[in-house]
Amino acid sequence: MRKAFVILMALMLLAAFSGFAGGQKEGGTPSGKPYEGVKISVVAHSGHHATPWYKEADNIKKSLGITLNVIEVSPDELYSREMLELSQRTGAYDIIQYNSAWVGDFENYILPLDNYIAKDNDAIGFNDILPAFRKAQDIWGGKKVSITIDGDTFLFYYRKDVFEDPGEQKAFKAKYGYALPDPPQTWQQVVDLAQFFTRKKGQKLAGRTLTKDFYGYADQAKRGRVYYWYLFRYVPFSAPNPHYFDPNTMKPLINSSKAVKALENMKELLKYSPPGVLSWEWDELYNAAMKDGTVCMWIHWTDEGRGFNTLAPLPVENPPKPVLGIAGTPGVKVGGKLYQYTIVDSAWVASITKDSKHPDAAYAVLKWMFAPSERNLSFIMNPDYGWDPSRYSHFNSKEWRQKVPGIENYLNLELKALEKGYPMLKIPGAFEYNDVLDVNVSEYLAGGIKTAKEALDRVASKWNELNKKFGVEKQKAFYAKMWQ
Amino acid sequence: MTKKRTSLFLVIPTVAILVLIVIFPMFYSITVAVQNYDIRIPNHTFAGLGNFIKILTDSNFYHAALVTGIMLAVELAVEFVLGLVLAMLLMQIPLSRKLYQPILLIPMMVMPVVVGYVGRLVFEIRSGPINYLLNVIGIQSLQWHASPHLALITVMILRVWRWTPFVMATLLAGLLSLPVEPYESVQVDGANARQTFFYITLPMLKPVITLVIIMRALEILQAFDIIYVLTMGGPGISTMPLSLYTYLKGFRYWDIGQASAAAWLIMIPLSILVTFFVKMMEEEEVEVEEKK
Repeated sequence: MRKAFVILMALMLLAAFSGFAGGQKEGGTPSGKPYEGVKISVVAHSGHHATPWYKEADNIKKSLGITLNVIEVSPDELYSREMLELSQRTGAYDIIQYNSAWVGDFENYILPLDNYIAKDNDAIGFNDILPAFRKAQDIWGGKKVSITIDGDTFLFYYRKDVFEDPGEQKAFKAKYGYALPDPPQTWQQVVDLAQFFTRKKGQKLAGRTLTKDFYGYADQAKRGRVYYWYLFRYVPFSAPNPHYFDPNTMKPLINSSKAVKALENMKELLKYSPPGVLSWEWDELYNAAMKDGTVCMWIHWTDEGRGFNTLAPLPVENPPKPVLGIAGTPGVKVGGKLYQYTIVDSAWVASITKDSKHPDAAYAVLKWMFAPSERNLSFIMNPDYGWDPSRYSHFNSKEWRQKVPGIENYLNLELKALEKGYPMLKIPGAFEYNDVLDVNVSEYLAGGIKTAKEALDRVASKWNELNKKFGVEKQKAFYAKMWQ
Repeated sequence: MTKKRTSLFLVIPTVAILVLIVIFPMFYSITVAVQNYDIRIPNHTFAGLGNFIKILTDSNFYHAALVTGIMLAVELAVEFVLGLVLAMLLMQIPLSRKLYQPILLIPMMVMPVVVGYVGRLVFEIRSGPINYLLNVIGIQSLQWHASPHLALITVMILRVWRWTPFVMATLLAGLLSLPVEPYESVQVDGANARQTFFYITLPMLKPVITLVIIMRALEILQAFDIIYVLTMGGPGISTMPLSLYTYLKGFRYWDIGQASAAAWLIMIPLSILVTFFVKMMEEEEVEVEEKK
């Protein structure tokens, strides 16, 4: 009995002390560190994306007094883990890294940042973020809810060393009746170019003998993310006023006649793609195009643009100096006018959770990591971290230009492409809407569904079901928030 | 304390744990299966049999059941034959068995996620070693996991590679534990190797075979990791088994109601299968006892 009493007293004392430590108020401590003793938990995309958080943990502790607890979760599981913790109100996370497409699902659990940004005169540099990213990723229903971590977008890449060959230019003009477009501006031009440049080993390319088969075009077509490559077509094919839904009725537009043409274009280009492209994820496309040099044109994230100087030579005898062409993704001509859009990947953003016990400290951490500074630029310039440029201070950086000669071409072209930024779907259940699209596009490309119309009708029917499940009127309101 | 009370006292914790970790989740999942239960939607309305009807009218569910059925039939048959052959071969080389057995068990120790990633490289269409070897012997490259017709075969090759060592090890343990007397008797009677195998070895090995089949069948019904990494159920839905179908419903689409309904629909044939095998095992045990 006596022993039990002693243990109980010891536990009470321990609880009292830990409560004292945990209950330390924010702002102003004897050490001069504004958040001494505060612990902030950040849930981050595992691996390279988490590295900058770890790298800065000690500095944050020294300067702000905050202990940073980095919780790594694999990107596949991030949505599930965050959704579970947030919806159950466990308070496990103060800062969440998430894909901005999930904002509709998370809006009840994340803190708007407008007051913080206004209070310190935008020290975090919200207005330094490019408008395309701000609009597509960080603003939701007119409120500033997140800070872009990773300025992910998609660019069109091509073998400029082949495009600039006079012999190829002449042969192309003779066959198709128009000058070889450099870069191609429409999807029809991409089809012509892909057909033209697809050659077998032993044939000539740019006047030299091919040592490997060479393919005109490739998508990253593995089930799981192939819907992106469909959207690159769907959006311009739906010009001049592309929409996922009719904003007035929430009727899906994904099975319109224009949408069908977009999917048919995708299948058409499979003819000029490497075998096995239906199993290609990021690595396979990157390696085939950049390291093997056997793909002429492709669309990918900005990694290739940043690594422009690592492009492999053409698979020909005595290859010319490799040159990577970079451009905005192709468009479609409607009534003689060209419509081009750059899909802004919903990509990675950071928000503060409403359940955070220390939101001020969490905002201080965000400011430390993302405010325009040499520190933030160093994260972006290091390709190992996977954080792509998203701010004017990144794109206009003299330091980057000096350090990597030639990078200005990529920076300028991406800046230009982002003037035509177009958002991805962000309403609640966005993952489900996209996955339904993905599985049907994948099945159509694999031949499991006979026609593009049938595949997209299935998507539209499922999207209608999802609208009903979440509530048509509610989804309509969310869809409107996407554009505010 | 009386003997009866002592027994009761000892049984209660076991029953309590059983209720907590088996009975309660089962009943809870029934309550979830009859609700429109989506974690993102605050009100979970009563759905009755709606979730079950939705699953049973979903063509993808039947396709996933077909994929699972094919995997069950093919993997069980191939793994059993290969496992038995390997176990018999190892029986023939008692001295070098200690060397070969651990080597043959390596695939079983590799994490399934790693198997999936390695599979992507090994079966890569243009630069993978499998297609290279095919080319060397004059066969054209195959599209493996990129082809809707070959993707499931690719998945099964990897899974058979991973799980055959388990079947082999279990059967080998069974073979090593068999009594030698029956073999001596049939040798005296002049039985040949085929007769010895079919009339002595196989019948005596039956309990171990049944156990292996139950364990493998249960694992195949839960097959997930390698498929998730290698194909994500694609191209299209060509490699989507019931486990991935249920996972997507529950943890990607957050329709926990439908996922629970699907899990219950999967559990029915699973229970029948397990009951059938357990009955078989019991009958064999009775037969063995009677023979003794």
